[in-house]
Amino acid sequence: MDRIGIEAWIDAGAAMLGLPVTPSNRQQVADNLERLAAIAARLDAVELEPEVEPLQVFVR
Amino acid sequence: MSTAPLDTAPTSTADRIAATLAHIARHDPAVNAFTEVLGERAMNRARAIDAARAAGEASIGPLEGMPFAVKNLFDVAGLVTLAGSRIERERPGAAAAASDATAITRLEAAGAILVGALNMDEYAYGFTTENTHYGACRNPHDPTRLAGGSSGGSGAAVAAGMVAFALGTDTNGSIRVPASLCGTFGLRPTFGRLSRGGSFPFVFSLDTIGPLARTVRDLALAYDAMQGPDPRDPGCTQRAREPAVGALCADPAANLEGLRIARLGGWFEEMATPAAVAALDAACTAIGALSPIASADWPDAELGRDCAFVVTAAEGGALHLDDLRHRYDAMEPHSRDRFLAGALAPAAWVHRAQRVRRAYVARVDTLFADHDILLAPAVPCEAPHIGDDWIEIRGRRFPSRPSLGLLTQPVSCAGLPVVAAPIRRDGLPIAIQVIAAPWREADALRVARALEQLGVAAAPVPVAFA
Repeated sequence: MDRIGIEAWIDAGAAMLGLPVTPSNRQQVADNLERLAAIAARLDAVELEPEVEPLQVFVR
Repeated sequence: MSTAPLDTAPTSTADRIAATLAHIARHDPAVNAFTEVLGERAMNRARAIDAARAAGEASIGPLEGMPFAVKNLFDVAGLVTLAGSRIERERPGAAAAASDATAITRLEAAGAILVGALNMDEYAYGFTTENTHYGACRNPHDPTRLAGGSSGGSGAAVAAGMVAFALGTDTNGSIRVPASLCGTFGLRPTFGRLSRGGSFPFVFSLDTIGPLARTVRDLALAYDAMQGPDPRDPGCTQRAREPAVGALCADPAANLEGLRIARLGGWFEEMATPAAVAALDAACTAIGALSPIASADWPDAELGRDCAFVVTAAEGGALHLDDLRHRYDAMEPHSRDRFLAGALAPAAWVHRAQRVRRAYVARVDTLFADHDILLAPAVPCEAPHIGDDWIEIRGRRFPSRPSLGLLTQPVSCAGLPVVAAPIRRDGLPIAIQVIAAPWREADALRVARALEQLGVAAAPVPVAFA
């Protein structure tokens, strides 16, 4: 997701969830979401077998 | 430096607690560790212990008369549970907790005495305790520097000798970071080992609670007292208690006996300054004189951190969605935009992170086929100054607030038990991580105890607080 996609996602998501994204915090929210997007892209590149389940709350 | 000021022989438990309260009143203004001091409750409890002893009760418990305090996200009967926030205090109809958190109940049943609640990063999202609402917590070794976080008050209160031990929580490093920057021991147990009942959550799939203390024995005593299943926490194990104090031996060689120990390289050296590496060198040199130390490579450390980063932001953002909508302006400026971005994370990112995490944990667990203990730096650097936005690691600049967890997050993401052990050195404190296999907290405590016996690890109270 590039910066334009991030900005569009923020507009849509904030409107849908009722979150207060304003000119005063927009830059910080976008920077943080962009950082998450970069990490998500790395995670997306990991090869996983289809049967690998999400961990969620686990008790060892 | 001096040894612990509270460990001088008291004439009674009430005298000891009165001295503790006086110590807090005198020294806390310099560090801002406490958000509430429970003088009346503590003195009543101390007098009750003295009365029980006078009545012939043989043993009050292994923690008899030991003063402790808790991060202010633990429920304390009669107090509003702040979790470092202004919002919880101001919430319409905000009620004081009706009962204590499970951990507090168990520690008091073992004879310890709760003396207060401690400063933290709002909703535990931070490594610095630069709390805008209650003020920054300051490092007792240099009050211009960070105490670490999010359990910063816990690290500072223990380091300054104001309590014998404190409770913190560790989602991504929030016990190990303040323990390292403030120079105390700290234990993050195996995920699910200790009950989180009656504590304010942050990230359900990563949250743990644990103690910070100035000696390994005190750390183990507090840990042992808190063990056991608890219906208040669905993430708490049903395993039987496995006390650790009895596993601690009288000499360092015995504490190391039978343990296959390795030093972690790769990510854990690349993301560490020379000061952090030197602390690890000192620990390995001392242990190496008694026991062989192998080298080991942690698989995909950065990937583990990535998983933790996404899961933390998304779970935290979802947990605080309503306050983001309606009380955004009352939230901590240092973290509210990270929460907000996390609330906007697509579900597919979070689902993917938890699936990668499953595969990551399986790979990490293979390390324990060849090793029982893994050693690594706990933090990249010494305590930064309060307000510093950047830290430098091997010539690269990193944002200070998230980067203090660079070395802790890969370990906690795998749910492993870790002891932070502060290494003796000139200058500011810094700790190493002693990492054990799942459910093997006692092994990590034994190695930390060996380092303490060898004179390498110690948590002396700074002279100004003696």
